[in-house]
Amino acid sequence: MLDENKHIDSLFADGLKGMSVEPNPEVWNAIDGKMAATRRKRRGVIIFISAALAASVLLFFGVANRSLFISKPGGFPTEQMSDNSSSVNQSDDSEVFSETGGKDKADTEVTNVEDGNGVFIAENTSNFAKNIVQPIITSRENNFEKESLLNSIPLGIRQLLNASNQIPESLQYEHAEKSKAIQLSAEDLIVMNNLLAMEQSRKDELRKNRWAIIGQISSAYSNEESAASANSGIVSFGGGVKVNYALGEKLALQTGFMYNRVGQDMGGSRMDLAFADPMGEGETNNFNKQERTVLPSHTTAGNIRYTGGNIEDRTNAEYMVASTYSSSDDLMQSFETIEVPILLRYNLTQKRLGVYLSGGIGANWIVENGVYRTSGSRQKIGEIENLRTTNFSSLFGLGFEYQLSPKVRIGLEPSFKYYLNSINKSGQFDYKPYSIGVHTGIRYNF
Amino acid sequence: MENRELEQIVKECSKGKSKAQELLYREFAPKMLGVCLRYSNDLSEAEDTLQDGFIKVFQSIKSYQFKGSFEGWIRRIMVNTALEKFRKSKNMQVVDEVWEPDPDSEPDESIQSSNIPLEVLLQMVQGLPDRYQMVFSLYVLDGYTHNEISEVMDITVGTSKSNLARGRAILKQKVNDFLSEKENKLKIC
Repeated sequence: MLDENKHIDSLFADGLKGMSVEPNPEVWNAIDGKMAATRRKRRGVIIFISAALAASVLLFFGVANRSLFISKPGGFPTEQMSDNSSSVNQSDDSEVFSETGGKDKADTEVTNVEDGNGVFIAENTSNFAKNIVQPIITSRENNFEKESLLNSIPLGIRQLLNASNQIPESLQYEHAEKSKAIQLSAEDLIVMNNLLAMEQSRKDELRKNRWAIIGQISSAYSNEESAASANSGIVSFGGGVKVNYALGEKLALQTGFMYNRVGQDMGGSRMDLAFADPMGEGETNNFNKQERTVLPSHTTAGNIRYTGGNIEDRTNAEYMVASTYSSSDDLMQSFETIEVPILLRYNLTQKRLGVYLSGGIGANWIVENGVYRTSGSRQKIGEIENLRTTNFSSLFGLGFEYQLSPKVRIGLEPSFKYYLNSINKSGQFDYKPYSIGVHTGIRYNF
Repeated sequence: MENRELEQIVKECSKGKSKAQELLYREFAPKMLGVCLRYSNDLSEAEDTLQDGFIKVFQSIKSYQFKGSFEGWIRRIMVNTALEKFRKSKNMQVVDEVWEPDPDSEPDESIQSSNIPLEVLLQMVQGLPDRYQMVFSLYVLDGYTHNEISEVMDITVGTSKSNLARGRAILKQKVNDFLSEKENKLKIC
């Protein structure tokens, strides 16, 4: 038995192992075309990534220099200040518009080789230099029928599979001579079953790739836009992990955990005054001329509770008198949040370079709340009182993804986030921050 | 092609040079089409596999470390491409060939490969049910072990062995049928 097996194995191995067949010239043309298209795509992607990086850098430095957005002149409320107080307002009014564009990738259709006139070059046979296509085609007719049927049936498969195995009326020819019911043979049924299997396979493939995990980092500019706000925004970095669940071919649901920071820079709206010596007589000639910083009692986000040492609360107005001393101090207010977004994502294109829109809402938990003095080394000096721990925001984004492999994609997503509620519980403050940022990340499909 | 010349061409290919890619293709395409034919049902399908396989070769040629035979490396890519196609279509219903072993037919030990034209041998392999064809080609023609076959085809070792045995049996039957027919024709003449 073993010898028999060896014999049959060697019969085929001797004949087929060294087989060499000249392919149709069209095969090389197709390969060359595809490789040329790949080279063009790669160049396009490099241009796209360069443009995206340039845009991110521009956004980062533009915002960092406060040149991207308008800063309104103004300052902290000064209703408790004396008439003689003076303020130094700093503002840079400039607008920078940046625009990035992606290069459309070129698609090249690869021509399928249909007419194969392969010439076999066999060393061990003399009568082999003949066309081999015809006998092979004959031996596998079913495969061609499958394809031709697939192409020629535009309607749903279920329409074909009626109980009587007949073509439904809607598919029959109008002319009488052609209107005989077409009986489906067992072979046709197999073909249909195969078509059903292909449809099922497509669904299975989609089901297989339903889940994906996305790791993202972001740089974002955030500020608060209200009539009372006169401050510059801050640039911050964040990041997190999202999971993606495909609802269909184009629609997907995303959620996860993201770390973000929002806030505002209050540089340019503070003032320094000299304090009177509290132990003095209250006369102007007894002023303590030591230069000290006057800090605001509140920001547009809420009242400040100072916690740092040696800081005079401006509400202690009895200690203050007007002064013309200028200041060199800067303040920054920042809220660190953990966000759980729920996003609906719609794929506009799903080729190697995919484009999608996403939108949804996010629940934001404030995990760190601080007011910082930023002149010199950064120092936390207090926090905003009466904040809501849980806040809700709306999110919008336009994203681009580039497929590195069937499982891995890298992405870039400019996005916009706007808080739906004021983060302060008090009706006195209506503080709804927004942020504009760029998320970059990597996505892995399971 | 000399090793040094091949090495130079491979290096040029890894830089994406079109001319070098064409040279490499001209050198290996005929042999690789021979490989693809064993895993395909016809020439057209084999050429599709060859095309996809060469695109993979050019895309991953940077990873070739000049260790081992380059031809073996390309062959492996072609076989993997054919297997990938097979896996994608494995949801298709396999129409098993109706085969009943003939107890009287014993394989003729005097069969010589030269008695059967190469195209007929190829047709016999291509005429096997897809899974048997894959297992037979992997085991007999490309030297895969049953363990390796079970991994690449996502089947058990036992299934691989039984598919091979069944494939062999069908081929034996076909060989005997072919030779009997040939003999009958000679007698008539």
